[in-house]
Amino acid sequence: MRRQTDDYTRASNVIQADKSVMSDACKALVLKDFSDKFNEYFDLCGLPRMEITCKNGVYGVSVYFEAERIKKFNVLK
Amino acid sequence: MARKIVVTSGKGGVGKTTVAAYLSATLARKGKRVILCDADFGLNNIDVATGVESLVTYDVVDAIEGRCRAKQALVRHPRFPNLYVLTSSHSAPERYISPQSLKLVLESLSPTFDFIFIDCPAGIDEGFHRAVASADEAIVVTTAQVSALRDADKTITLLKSYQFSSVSLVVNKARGDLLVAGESMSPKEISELLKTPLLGVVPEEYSIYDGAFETIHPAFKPMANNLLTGKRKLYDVTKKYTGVLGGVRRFLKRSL
Repeated sequence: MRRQTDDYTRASNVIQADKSVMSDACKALVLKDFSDKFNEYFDLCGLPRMEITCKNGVYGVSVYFEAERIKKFNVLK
Repeated sequence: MARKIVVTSGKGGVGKTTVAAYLSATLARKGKRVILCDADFGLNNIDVATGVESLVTYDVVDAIEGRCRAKQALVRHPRFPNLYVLTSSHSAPERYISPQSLKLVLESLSPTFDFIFIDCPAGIDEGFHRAVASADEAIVVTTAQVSALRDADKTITLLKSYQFSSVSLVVNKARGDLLVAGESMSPKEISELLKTPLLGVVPEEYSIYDGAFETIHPAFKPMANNLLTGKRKLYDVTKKYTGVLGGVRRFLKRSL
């Protein structure tokens, strides 16, 4: 019984990994980097969210985050 | 008009040609007029799998390139009179054969037949798309191995873009002894994993793979019925491995 379950779980994991554009662990790393950068300009409410789609070989990446405050900054000319 | 069904898998060696050949023969025996078309240009084997290699005069490439009419390329099987084999050519791979040209040949034959089975080459490249473009339905053949399931899943995903009226699954080389012992995934689990309905289950038995193409294994009868009626009755591969005698058979299968 154990081998049957192991094979099912393994096959399921392999199929899911093939379908995902980026693994959950990699996504978490990317979002952490985004969060650090965005925190320089915004007071973030929680972590950003990211969606990656692929159409005709081109990846569309959308990043969403919410901020409580926009930090004041200026640009020196 | 004939139902045009491509038999594919992604992974090679899972038994596409065998399933296509025996399913075609079963339907032919039921009185349906069936064409079994080899869409593998280069590594074709339908002629050998059905035992008609010495009867071939023209092949599908001859029909596509106008050296014969499409009907002239059909080889009527001597043992199954309603089964016509449309073989491929060993020398074709260096020539480009478009999906439209294969489709045109099959469309011209379609009015006088009930089924056209298209044996697809392994892989998901040009040959796959050429075979799939001619079909309206698909049968995906897989085994219980993780590598076969992975490739079957990728194939099923690709088939979605063709918007077939039906995509169904055949689990081939099913080991009844391992299923009873809980050491292999069941066909039902495979169907759930791939999110595709089961058409049939074929056991791993020598009589199917000995290449004689003389007798049809009972597993293909419910499969053919399912195709005709839309029902989902499956052959029980564990039947001979249950009970006392089944236990002995399982022991012997492991020992030998």
